Amino acid sequence: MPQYAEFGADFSITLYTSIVILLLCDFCVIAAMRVAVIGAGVIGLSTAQSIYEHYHEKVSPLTIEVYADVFTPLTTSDGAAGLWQPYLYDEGNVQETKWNKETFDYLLSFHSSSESVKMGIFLQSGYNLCTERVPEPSFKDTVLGFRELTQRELDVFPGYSYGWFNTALMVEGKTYLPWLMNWLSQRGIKFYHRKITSFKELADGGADVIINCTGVRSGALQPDPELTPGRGQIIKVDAPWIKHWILTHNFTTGVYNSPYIIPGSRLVTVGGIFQRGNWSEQDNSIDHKKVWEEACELEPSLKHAQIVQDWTGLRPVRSKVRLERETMRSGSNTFEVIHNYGHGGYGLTIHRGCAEEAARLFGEILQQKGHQTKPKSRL
Amino acid sequence: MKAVKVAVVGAGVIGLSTAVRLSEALQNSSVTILSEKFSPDTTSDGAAGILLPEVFPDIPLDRQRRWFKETFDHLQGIIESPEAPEAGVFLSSGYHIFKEVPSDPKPLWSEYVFGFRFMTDREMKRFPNHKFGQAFTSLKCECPRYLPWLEKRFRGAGGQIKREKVTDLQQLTSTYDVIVNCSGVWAHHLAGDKGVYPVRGQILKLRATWLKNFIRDGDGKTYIYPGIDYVTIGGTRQKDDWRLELDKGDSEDMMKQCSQLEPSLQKAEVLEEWVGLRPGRKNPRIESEWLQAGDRQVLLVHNYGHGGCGITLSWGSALDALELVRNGLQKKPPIEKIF
Repeated sequence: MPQYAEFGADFSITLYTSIVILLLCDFCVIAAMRVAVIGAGVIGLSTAQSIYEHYHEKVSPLTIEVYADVFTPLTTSDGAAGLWQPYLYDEGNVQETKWNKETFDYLLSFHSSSESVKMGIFLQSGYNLCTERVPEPSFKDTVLGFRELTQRELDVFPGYSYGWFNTALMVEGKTYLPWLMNWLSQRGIKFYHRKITSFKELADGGADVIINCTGVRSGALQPDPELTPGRGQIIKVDAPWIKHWILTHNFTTGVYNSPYIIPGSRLVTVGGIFQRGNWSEQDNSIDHKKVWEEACELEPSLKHAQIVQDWTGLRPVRSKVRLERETMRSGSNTFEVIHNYGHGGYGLTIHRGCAEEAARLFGEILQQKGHQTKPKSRL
Repeated sequence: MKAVKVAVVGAGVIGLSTAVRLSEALQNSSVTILSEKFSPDTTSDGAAGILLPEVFPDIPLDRQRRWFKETFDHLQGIIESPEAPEAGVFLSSGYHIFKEVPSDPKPLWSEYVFGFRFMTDREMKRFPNHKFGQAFTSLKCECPRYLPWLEKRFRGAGGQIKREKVTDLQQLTSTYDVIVNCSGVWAHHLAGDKGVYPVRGQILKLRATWLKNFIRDGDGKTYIYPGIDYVTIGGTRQKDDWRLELDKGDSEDMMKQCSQLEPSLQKAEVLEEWVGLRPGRKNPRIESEWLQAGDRQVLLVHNYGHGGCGITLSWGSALDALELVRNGLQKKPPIEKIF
């Protein structure tokens, strides 16, 4: 059974749960299904996990296979700093706010467990700094101890006149992804190092349901004008005296184009680049200079810190997450695709909520297919 | 006029802070530190170093506030500069948790740290055996880095260092005009002060780089302080215990207690065990007296007995010691032998 938050937060009975109950009533065991997940970043792996958790007992056998051209530590998720924090405002996208919160509560439930270190989960407090007073963010009640910054705290960060302090979770891709892969392979999920060039390819190979978690390169499988890369370049620094994340917000230059400093379990991630439409995965020296100079201005103690490496990644930016079903044809066969991509700079932040929703959509597919070997007799 | 010769006895955080302030402020003087131990072998070196005062019963509250604020402001100046990592000073946030609501839920230092507030219910859920908590951000000052940084500053101001054990303050009077006694718990012998007693503290240094926030139980005996190179967990507060040997039972106890608060500690590697003797005293002794040395009068200023608050009060009490030296020199300068 999936782990729900123990931390007394909201436990919402979702539509998904009612469908599960419905399934339990109407079906006993469902015949073989083959699921092909494309993508082994945090989205692909966590979706495979949710589907397995909910359906491995109801579908027999349930074959889940993950296909990807890159695996950890080379995915986009691996480069992310790993701070759980959505964009400040969801612009009415309450669905995503809900999924973000689900993810936070889910991760928090593991925090005190023996698995936390192996999962790459830990708590860290920090600062969100703004140059003007702005409305409170969507996540203020989800994180812990959210409050406004006092004037004395703001005095430590010259140039910023308003902001918040809170404690949030870190989930480091470089640790979390191997943990997920281990979790999955222990349960029989297989991994294939292969670049998939079409959904049809997998359907013809026998996949009943394809889960499309291909992130920024989803357009290669199916053109999507709403999807664009949000190029990010970061610098990893050895600065173990920094114990808080510091995010600055500049509403003119836009999200993540303002310096941020996020300590991890080993190194500190320094960033502040978000270039829409830039497909280059090469480190750029001008970007490096901008990131470094702005970070040192924000946090002078960085000045003599040792730089370890640069890294560039492409955030899968979209107006909102594409999380929906699509029925496709290959010859005379139809097959189902569940799209789960376009999580921008908040993939780790939202992954669990989306994975659970994708699993719910999978349940819908099961219900509609009506596959059954032994229907429960009703007298 | 001859330069005034000042001896500072002790090279822990109190000795070094005092020596730096003296060497930078006093005109026409030379300052020499005399100590048996230097960093990393002083009591200060093992302290976690979080700035947090306790309240002493007999010293006016204003003076205590001043000690703390002076130190806090001084260290805050360092964190905002590129010297911060070399000095070992940084911002540290965390929790104080209490099994019962304390008599003063909002202590006097709450206005000097950053963002002091009570913990929320959700935050308290992590600690089912505790009923109440305080959350705030303070400064952490790690002496293995801070003391060498102070020493560099001291030498830059012309200070001298002599590695020697002082066993008798009177003996120093033949060479020095002013003696500042920063001998910590050893003032018990050196100044014959039975009012200063050891409060033995044993700690463990762990490698747990994922820990960022401190947690301290209100009893003061269970705490977790993430530092630059390791996490300090503790501890003990054994009054009148002079043992500098490690106690296996103490280590086991603190590992058990701290793991209850922070389960992930069970995955942490133990790097080192350490013992130090806090210079306990009812109140810190910061006052002056005169020693007779033949026909000379030598000023003796005491600055010791800060208990577990040495680092927290270091810069502020060093200022008081400096003032005592200045006042003493004005009132009664050393008489020159005119022959």
